[in-house]
Amino acid sequence: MIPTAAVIILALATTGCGAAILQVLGQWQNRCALERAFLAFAVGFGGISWLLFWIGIAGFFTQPVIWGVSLLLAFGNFLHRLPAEQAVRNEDSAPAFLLWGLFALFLVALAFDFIEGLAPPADGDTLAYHFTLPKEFMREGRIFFVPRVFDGAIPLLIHMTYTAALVLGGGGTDGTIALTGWSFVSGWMASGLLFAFGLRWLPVSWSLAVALLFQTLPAMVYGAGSGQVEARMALFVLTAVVGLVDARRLRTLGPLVLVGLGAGFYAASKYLGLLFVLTCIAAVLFTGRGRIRRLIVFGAVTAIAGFQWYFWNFIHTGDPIFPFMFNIAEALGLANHEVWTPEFAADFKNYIDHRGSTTRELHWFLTYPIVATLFPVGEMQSGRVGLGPFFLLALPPVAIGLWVKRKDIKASPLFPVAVMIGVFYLLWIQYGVIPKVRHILPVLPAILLCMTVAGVASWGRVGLRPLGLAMLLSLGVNYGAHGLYSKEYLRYLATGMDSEVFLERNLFGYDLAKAINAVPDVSAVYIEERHLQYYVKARTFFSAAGKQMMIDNREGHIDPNRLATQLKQQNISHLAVHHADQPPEPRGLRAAVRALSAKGCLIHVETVDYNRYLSRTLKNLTLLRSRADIWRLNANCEHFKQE
Amino acid sequence: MQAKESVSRHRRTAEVLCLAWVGIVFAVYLLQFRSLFPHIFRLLSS
Repeated sequence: MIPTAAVIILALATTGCGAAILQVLGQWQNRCALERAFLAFAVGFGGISWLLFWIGIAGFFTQPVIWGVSLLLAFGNFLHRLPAEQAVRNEDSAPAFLLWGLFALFLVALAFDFIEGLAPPADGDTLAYHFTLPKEFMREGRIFFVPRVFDGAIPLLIHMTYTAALVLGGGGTDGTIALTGWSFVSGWMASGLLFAFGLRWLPVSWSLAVALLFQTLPAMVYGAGSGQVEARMALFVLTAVVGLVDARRLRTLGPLVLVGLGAGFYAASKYLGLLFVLTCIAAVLFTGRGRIRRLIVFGAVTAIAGFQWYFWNFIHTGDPIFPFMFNIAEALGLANHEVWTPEFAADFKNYIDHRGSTTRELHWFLTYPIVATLFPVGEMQSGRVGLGPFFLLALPPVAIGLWVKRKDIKASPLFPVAVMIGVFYLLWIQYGVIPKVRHILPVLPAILLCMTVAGVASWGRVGLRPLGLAMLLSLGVNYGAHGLYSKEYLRYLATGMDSEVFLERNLFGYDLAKAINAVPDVSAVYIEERHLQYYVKARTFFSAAGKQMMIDNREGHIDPNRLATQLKQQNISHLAVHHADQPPEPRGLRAAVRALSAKGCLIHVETVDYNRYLSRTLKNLTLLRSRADIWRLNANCEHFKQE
Repeated sequence: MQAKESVSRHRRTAEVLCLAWVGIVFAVYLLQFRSLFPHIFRLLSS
């Protein structure tokens, strides 16, 4: 009951907040009801997250405050009573059975994701930080700075709504159900907006097909139902797309605030959003005359919507894009050496250079889509959780459409969107650091929309059948993958499986989390299996070698005595570290653990064996045995007495 | 009349080529997952 109420009130607060923002900015009128409902969610999703940041840093992440704010924002939904415009109706030549078939597919995908929303979360990244940081924020009742690269000191706009869901649900099991329920709701909204917005150009059948294709892309199936932020950042990109199209169509400044909000919220959700801001600058230049004024409006709104997390980083580290601008912060004397040092920065640079080396050469601008779709390399993560085949399959009909309409392209309201897509792609390939296809997921709805509009318009409808076939085959693959992915969730629901059993089956190392929870007097645990943090009841400290300085655990750099001191400084009472089956690396963590054990500073508690797999869906693909040791830090050992 | 027929023939050719592209690329796409098929069948039969 409470989780359901929490999800409903949060959804109402989001749409209410969005409706109010749109009304204040003059963007509520002149839209059809469906489009403005989904646009309200998109804008409200960013708006409520923006507001929650201030509530969080003020230390008001408490149930009464979040319920009160949500109820207040929900009043914004009364704006839906204002008259809306009549929806555009494009001629639909699709037979009725096709429409019904698409509607049935929509229900199937919705059911799969709904069932996932009822099960305990089991995705690695989600449990490592997307849900764990909100859990920690809720425990503290406030936002606090986490000085860890990649999953701590990052823009956390979207995580604010996760925290709200958890708080509204009251934490614990109810809070978790509210959180997964909220993931389900928020994970579908970008498709809703894509469908509603697509109706401006496409008939219902094509618009629905495009929205379904996006919702069931393997990367979406994997990300939308979990806490992955990309599926939700698509809302912000679509907000910007709506703004670009309207700014171009109406030749007014007003819609540019939507572009600014979309770009700002994207930047506040992930560093990659900064590339999107640059991208939007280029796109705004193509929306009409008075470019300077347009850029000023866009820039001001973007800065307001997106600055907070960069400012948060800056006041704690001296580097707004921690740690990517460390050298500049260091040169200006602003760097906080308690958080990052030149030595760590040099190690980190080597790491980034290595990760980004896959797509460094020039040819990747052209070959990336082909390689990512047909011959994926591991770094792209584009195989099982990729983008599906549609983008390649649809190329010829889309190319024909573009060629046939080449004289009208520059005048199209979608032209600034096409500029946005092109510039973002170029910037992402060049500066995106890690070439995972999942990272371009937020701009995919825009690409899909432009491709489909071009394809449907092609040469006397010559592209319709190939495009239809491409859509059919792609949906077939997507639904096959979605079905496989959902099998465990269906089993969970159908058999009435216990949550513990589900987690034992689907979360590798869950036995280790259970073992840690069974150990008495654990105040905080140092852990190497990052995805277990959400289910460990005590406070956790993720090892994150080379990504944080609080405990220097870089292999080859570890001094046992310093390690012991740093563990104590972080109030760690226990460690859960991988077992050393072979002689440990000199100055490595396992060697240090062995040395501290010999000195009596670490006392062995338990060894836990567990299975490890790379795919939750296809566990038998890579099944490995793993072993971890739980140690207790002995505060009475000689080392601590000498300190 | 002849020009109209020629355009129609070109369109037909373009459509066939597009369909062929879709078929071939889709087959190549599926090929990358061939090593997964035994695992998928095992999963489905479990």
